Amino acid sequence: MPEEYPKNRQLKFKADDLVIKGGDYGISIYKIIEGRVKVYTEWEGREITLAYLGPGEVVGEMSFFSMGMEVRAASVRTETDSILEAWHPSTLQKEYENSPSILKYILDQTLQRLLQINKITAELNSKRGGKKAPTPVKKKGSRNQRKYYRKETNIECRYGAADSKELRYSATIKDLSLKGVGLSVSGSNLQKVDHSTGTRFNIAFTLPNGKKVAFEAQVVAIRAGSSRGAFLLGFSTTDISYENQKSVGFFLMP
Amino acid sequence: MALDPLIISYVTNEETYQDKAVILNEGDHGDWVYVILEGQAKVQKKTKKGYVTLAILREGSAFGEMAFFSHKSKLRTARVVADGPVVIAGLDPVRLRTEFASLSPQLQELMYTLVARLEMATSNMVKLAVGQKKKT
Repeated sequence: MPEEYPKNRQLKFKADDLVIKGGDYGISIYKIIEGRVKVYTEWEGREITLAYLGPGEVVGEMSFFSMGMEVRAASVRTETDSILEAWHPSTLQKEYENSPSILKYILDQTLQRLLQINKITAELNSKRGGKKAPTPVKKKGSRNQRKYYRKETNIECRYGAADSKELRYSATIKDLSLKGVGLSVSGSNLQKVDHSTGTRFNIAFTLPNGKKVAFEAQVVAIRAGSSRGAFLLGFSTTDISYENQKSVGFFLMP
Repeated sequence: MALDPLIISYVTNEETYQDKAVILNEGDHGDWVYVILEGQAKVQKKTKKGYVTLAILREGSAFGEMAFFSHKSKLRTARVVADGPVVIAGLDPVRLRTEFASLSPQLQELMYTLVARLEMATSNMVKLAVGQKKKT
């Protein structure tokens, strides 16, 4: 192996250590030498386990095949004290580039299929999440418990009745969380369409980072706003795709 | 869509299948990789609720690679069924094997992992999809 390429490193982890954080940029690939890890995603503050992996198995490789263009798709945490070997993908990337084209041709299709399946799975999961929340996983004093919270904002949005394709009304998002939004709405809107609790709306807006977000939510609370003729409506999300959830979650990260 | 000349150079025997003919059966032994030359085919998995179509393969689509890039099982993970008349061809297995064997163990490992991921992700998705249908 050429001297100028980074060598593989052996890393020791204690049980319950975070190895990979979903949503982060990362290119290391890890081979499990000893121990056991859990691969999971987070949904509304809860962990959804995707897999358990043991010695000989590899994790983090998706970023290699997507050339590091996608953020980490899932998180990885050790279940037991473990030893992981970290591979820097640069050597492998060079090798992959120079490998027989036929193999790349085939595997490129495999990768596309995997990304597609992951998308469909996430959509199926988000639909399910709306009907039945996943059971919370008990964590033994985990140091890395993520807390999703409500962030105060001032973002213009458009919204419309859930059964219509139009987003006829405008409002301002005053606070945002993964569970819902608080909208400041003009009284005249309330006269045009029913905003009583339980009514569902489609809400769409653009985050400060340029990411477009849209989801369905239902009214759970109404109260007078701070300025005259304005009302503050509390919404709870009822249908949000995995992509949108990721965008919001990313925005909310401290 | 013209087929990449690269693929043509690996093509060995051509086979033609009629509509609905089973090209590969789930659970069959075999690790040849194939490519669609003309027409299209469906990739399907068997579930309690019958066959679920996972993907449509078109001209230039490779299939059968799951068993090729596998440490252990050389069993077909899904069935491939002709969707209208279809012409497929096997890719020279000796050349593929030789070229794969020339890669570093780590790169080989990564390729096995990618394919294993697809197999696991597909199984999970199918369970989820079938499970949902039962509820509604």
